[in-house]
Amino acid sequence: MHSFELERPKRLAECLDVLDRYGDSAFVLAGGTAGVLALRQGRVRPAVVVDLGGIEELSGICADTDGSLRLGAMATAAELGRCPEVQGNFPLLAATARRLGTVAVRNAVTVGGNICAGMPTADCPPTLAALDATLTIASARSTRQATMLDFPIGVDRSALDPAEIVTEIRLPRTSAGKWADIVRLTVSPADYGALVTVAVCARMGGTPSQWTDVRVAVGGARDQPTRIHAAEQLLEQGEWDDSRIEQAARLSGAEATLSDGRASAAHRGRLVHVALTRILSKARQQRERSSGGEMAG
Amino acid sequence: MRAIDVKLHLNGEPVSATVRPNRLLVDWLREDVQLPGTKLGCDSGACGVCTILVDGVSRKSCLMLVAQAAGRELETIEGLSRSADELHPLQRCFVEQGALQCGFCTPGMIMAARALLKENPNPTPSEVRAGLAGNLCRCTGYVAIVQAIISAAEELRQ
Amino acid sequence: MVQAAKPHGRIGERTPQRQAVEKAQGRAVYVRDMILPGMLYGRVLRSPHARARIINIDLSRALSVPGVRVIVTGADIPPGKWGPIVKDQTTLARGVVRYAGEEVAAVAAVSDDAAHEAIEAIRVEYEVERPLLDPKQALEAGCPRVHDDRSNLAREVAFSRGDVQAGFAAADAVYEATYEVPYQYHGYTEPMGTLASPDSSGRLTLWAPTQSVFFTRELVAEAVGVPVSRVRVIQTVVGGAFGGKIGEENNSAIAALLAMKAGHPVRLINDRPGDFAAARKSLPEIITLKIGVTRDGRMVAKQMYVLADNGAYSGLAPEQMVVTAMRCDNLYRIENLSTRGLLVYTNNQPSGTFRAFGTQQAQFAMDSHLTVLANMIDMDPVELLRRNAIRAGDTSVHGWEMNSCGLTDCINTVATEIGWDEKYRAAPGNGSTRRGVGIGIGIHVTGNRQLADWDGATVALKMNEDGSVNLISGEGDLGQGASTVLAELAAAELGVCFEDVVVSQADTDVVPFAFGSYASRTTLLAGNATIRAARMVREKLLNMAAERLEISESDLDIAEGWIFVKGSATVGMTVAEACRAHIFRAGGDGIYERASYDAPTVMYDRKTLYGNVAPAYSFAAQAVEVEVDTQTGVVTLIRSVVADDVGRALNPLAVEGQICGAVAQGVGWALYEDMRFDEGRLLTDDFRSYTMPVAEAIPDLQTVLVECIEPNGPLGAKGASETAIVPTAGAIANAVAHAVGVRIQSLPITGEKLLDAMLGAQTANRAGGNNA
Repeated sequence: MHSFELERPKRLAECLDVLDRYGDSAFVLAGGTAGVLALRQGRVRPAVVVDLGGIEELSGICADTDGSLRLGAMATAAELGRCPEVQGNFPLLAATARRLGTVAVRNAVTVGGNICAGMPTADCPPTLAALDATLTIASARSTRQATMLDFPIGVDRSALDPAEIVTEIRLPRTSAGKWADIVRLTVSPADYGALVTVAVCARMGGTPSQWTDVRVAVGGARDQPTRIHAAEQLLEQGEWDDSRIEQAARLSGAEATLSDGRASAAHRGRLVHVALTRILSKARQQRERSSGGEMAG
Repeated sequence: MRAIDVKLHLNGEPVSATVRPNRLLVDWLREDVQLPGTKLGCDSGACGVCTILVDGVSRKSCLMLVAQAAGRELETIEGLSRSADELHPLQRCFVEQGALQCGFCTPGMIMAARALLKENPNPTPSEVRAGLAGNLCRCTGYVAIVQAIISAAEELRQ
Repeated sequence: MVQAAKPHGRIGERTPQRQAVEKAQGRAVYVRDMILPGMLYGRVLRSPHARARIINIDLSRALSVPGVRVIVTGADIPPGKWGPIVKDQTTLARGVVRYAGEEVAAVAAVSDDAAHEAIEAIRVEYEVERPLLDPKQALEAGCPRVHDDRSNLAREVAFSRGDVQAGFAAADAVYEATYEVPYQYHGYTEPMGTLASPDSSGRLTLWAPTQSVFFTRELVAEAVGVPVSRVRVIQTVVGGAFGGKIGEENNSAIAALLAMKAGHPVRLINDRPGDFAAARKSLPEIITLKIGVTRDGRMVAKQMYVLADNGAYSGLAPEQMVVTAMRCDNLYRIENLSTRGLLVYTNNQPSGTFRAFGTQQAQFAMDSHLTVLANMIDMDPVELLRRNAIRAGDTSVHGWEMNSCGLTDCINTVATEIGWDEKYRAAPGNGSTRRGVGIGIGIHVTGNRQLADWDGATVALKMNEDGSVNLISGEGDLGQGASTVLAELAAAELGVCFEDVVVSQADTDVVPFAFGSYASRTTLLAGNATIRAARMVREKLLNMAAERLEISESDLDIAEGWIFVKGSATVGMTVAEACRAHIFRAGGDGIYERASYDAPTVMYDRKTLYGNVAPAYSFAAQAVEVEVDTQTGVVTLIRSVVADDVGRALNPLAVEGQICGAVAQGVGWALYEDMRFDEGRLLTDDFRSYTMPVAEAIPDLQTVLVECIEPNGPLGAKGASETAIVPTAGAIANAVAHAVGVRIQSLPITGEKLLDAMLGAQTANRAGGNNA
C-alpha cells in the first residue's frame, strides 16, 4: 500500500484543525470498509489519513429532550440496529441498519461513512431522506446543516469540502412514530449488496383514507438517492387504492436512470415499481386491518 | 512515514506494537506477530477468510489498519485452542462433521461462527446461514458447515 | 480387477480427513504462509488490452524503486513455446499480447509493497489492435489470426454413429434449439501461488498447490528451458483447485523464472483480479441440438453442433471440447447421432480445465432439451429419462463399458425424494411467486485414458521400525480427502491402524511418477495400486512372522498391528517386531514395496473417438424445486436432491462433502455467477461483482449415495468428486420453465433476463403467439 502519515485525533476540534491544515491531501477514514479498500486498491493516495475512530464526540446515539434522535457520524450500523431508541421511534432506520451488507460489514460501517462513500446503492441515504434527516457538517471555520437531499453524492464525488466532515445526523421528532417501510431488492440471494431500495414514510391522516407527510425515497436507481416528489404529492391526495398505487409506482419507476453491469435502467425501474407497490399495498392492508391507531412499520 | 504505537489485546494478552501507518491488520497478524492462521483470499474485502473477532464481534481484518485496532480486544483462530490437542467445540464439530475440505476458508468461517454464537447461542439453521453471508466457501456447499455450527451451539449451551 | 480384501478398519465410516485438525486450528501451511531466508516477493504486470503489439517496455523507473532485485519480461524467456498439449504459450508475452490479463512483466523485490510500486512504475507502450472476441467470427475469411503460426481453428471433431437421417424420419417429435453458456471461474478461496527457490547449483525447488506435481514439473521445466531433473515440485496444502491449478496457467513458470534470475527464493501469489484473468476458466460454448424422439419416448436421433471458445491459449481446452461433444451421449441408449465440434482461438481469456472437464456445458443443453421434448409428447420428463437411461452391462454408443451403473436408481431416488409426481402436476397458482421442479442427470469418468496411453498410478509403502507405514504417492490431495482414503485402504489391507499410516507429501524427487488429482481418478487408480502394494507388504510380514513363530503362513492373520495365529489371538508378534526383524538380520532389508495399477482401458481412436476410455463411470441425478418471484424475476432455490452413484462410498463424509460442493458450484454457474467483459477485459474480477453462492443460496440440499459396486474399483469404489456438478444447471433451468412457462437457454439465469423473457412471452401471447 501507498505510504501515508496517520493522524488519530482524540477530539473533534483537533480533527478539524488537522483537516484544515492538510486540505485535500488528507483522507478521512471512518469504519474502513470503503476507506481501507480504496487505500489498498490505490484509488486514493493521500499524504495523510485522518482516523476518526478515536473521537468520542462522533460516537454514540442520543435522544434529545425534544424527541429527536442524534446519531454520531461514527455510530455503526450494528449499533443502530441494536439501539432501543432507534428501534422504538425510527424502526425504519433499525431495519435498514440490520439488513445492510453482512454481519462483519455492519460491525464496521458507520452511518457517516455510508453517507459519504459516494455509492449510489448505499443503504442509509434513502432511509435518512425518508426520515427527513438533517446533517451537521463541520469544519474548523464553520458549521452548517444540510438535508440528505442537499447532499448530492454521485459515484465517488462528495458534497463536502476537503476540510469538512459530517459530525452528526439528526432525525427530527416529526418523523418518529410515522408509518414506515422499506423494501431492499438485491440481484440474487448470493449478492448482499443492495440493487434498488425504496423507503416510504407517511403519517396516517384524520380519516382512514388520508395520508400526510408522505416521503418516497429511492436508492440505487440513479447516481444518487432521490425523493420522488410527484409520487409523494399523489399519495397525499387521496386514498391508496389500486389506481393511485399503480400511478405512484409508475412515476417512481420512470425516474430510474442508472444502468450498469448489475442491471439496466429499465430493470431498475421495474424493481422500483415492484418495491413501491409492495410497500403501499402492505400499508393499505395494515391500515384496513387496524382501527386507525398509530402503527410502526 | 512516522511509525505509530498501538496497544491492544490479542488472544487475551496485552500487546504493544510499533507499526507503519499503512500496515493492514491481517498482514500484521500473519507476519509481525506470527499468527498466520488468518488468511488472505481476495483484494476486495469480499471473501471473509480474514475474519477475526474485534471486541467480540466479527470484523474483516483485511479492511482494518492496525491503528484502528488500538485499545481493542482481538481474537484470532489461534486463540480458540491453546494446544494441538485441545479443540474448541466449533473446531471439533467442524472436524468431525466434514465442515472443512481444503480448509482455507475455515479459520474465518469458524471465527464468524464464534461471533454468531456469542450473539445468538441458539440459532436456527436459517439464522446460521444469514450469519455466514460474508464468508465464502467453494468446497463444502455449506451443508456440513451449518450442521457443525448447530452441533457446536448445542454443546456450548450445556 | 484387483481382488479387494475383506473390508474392515475405517472403510465405509465417516472419517475426518487427516489434516482436518490442523486446518481447523489454522495451523495448516499454505504456500502464502511459507517463508524462506532471503525470500523475495513477486508481482506480475498484466496487459489491459485483449490484443496489442508491445512496442516498448521501459523498466528504468521500476528498476530504481528501492528494494527491487529483478524484473523479467518476454526478453528474458527461452525461445520456443510450451503448453500441456498444444505448444502455443510463453511464460511472459513476447512481442504481442493476446488476451486482457496476459502477463507482460514480473518483478521480485524485498517486500510486497516494493514489488507493487515497481509494477506500477513499468511503462509499456502498446499498439492496440481490434481484438477478435466473437467465436462465430473466428473462422470467417479475412478474420485476423490470434496466433501467426496457426489457424484460428484449435480443434475440430466430427463423428457419427448409426443413421441420423433415418432416425429423424422415424421420430414423432423433433426439436431444435441453441444454448449458450459462459465461462465459470473456479473461485477457490486460495489464489494460485508458487514459492520457487534455487539451490546453489541453480536447481529449482517449487512449492505450490498444484493438482499434479509432475505436470507442473514438466511444464515449468519446458517454460524456463531446463531438463526436468533440474526442477523439483512439492505440493503444498491446496486451498481449493477445481481444475484451476493443474499447470495450464503461468504462475509457477513465472515464479521459477524470477527465482532463477534473482538467485533467491521468490514467492509469487496471484492477486485476485490477476487470478480471475489468468486462471483457465471453463469453456464458453454455443451448443445447437436437434433431437428426435418417438411417441413412446425413445431418443432416435441426435444432431449436435458445438462452438467452443478456446480463448488466447489452449491448455487442455481441446480435450474439453471433445468431452462436451461426446460425453453426454453415454448417458442414453441412443444409436443414431451426428456431432460436429469446433474449438476456436479468440482474444478472450484462455479457457481450460474446470471440474467435470466440459460435461456441464453439454448437459445443460441436453437436460433442457429433453424436458422440452417430453412436454412435446406429453410425457413426464422423468419418465423420458427412465426410458432412455443407460444401464449396467450396456456398452454405450461410443464404446464405453458400463460395468456398474446406478443411473436409473439415481433418477428414481431424486424423483421420489423431491416429491416429483405431486409437484410436477401441481397447479401453477396465481400468486406473485411460482414454484416449479426440474430434473437433470450426469455422467463422469473415473480417470481417463485421454492424455497418454497410461492412466495409472504407482504407490509405494515403506514400513518403519515401529510398525507404522509411509504411503508414498504422487497423486496429492486437494482437500477432497484422497490421502485419507488411500490411508484407509492401506490400513484395511495391511491390518494396521489407520492412524499408523502416514501419507507423504507429493514431491517429485521422492514419489513415483503420477498424473495427479483430476478426473476423479485418485481413489480408483491409486486406491487399486495401494491395495496391490499392501498385499505385497502383507505377504512379507506374514512370511517373517511365519518364520519366527514357526507357524504356517496360511494360519496367520493381521489386525490392528498384531500378527496372530487364527483362532488363538494371544500367540503372535507385532507388525513392528516383524518390520524390525526384517531389517536386523544377516542380509536384512526394510520392507518397501511398490505396485502400479493401470486401468484396463483403451485410448480412444482419435478419428472415431470410439473406445472404453475409463475403468469406471459415475452417474448422478438431481431434482430441484425453485421459486420464481414473477415481479422481479429472481429465482430462489427451495430444495435440491442429488443422488450420486459413487460405486462404494469408502468415506461417506468425504463423498457427501464433494457432492454438496459440486452442486453449489453448479448452482452458482446456473444462477449467480455473471461474468462481464468490456472489449475482452474482465470487469467482474472480484468476489463483489462475481458473486458465488453463499450459505443462504443453498438452503436445503439433500444428498443420497447410490452404491452400485464397481468391479474395477478398490472395494467397488469409483470417482465421486465431479459428477454432481453436471446435472445442476439443466435441472434449475427446467424447474424455472416449469414454474413460469418460460425457458432460458443461456446462463446465468438472472432476474433481469428472466423478467425480460417473461414479459416478452406475455406480449407474444397477447399478440396471439405461443412460447413453450
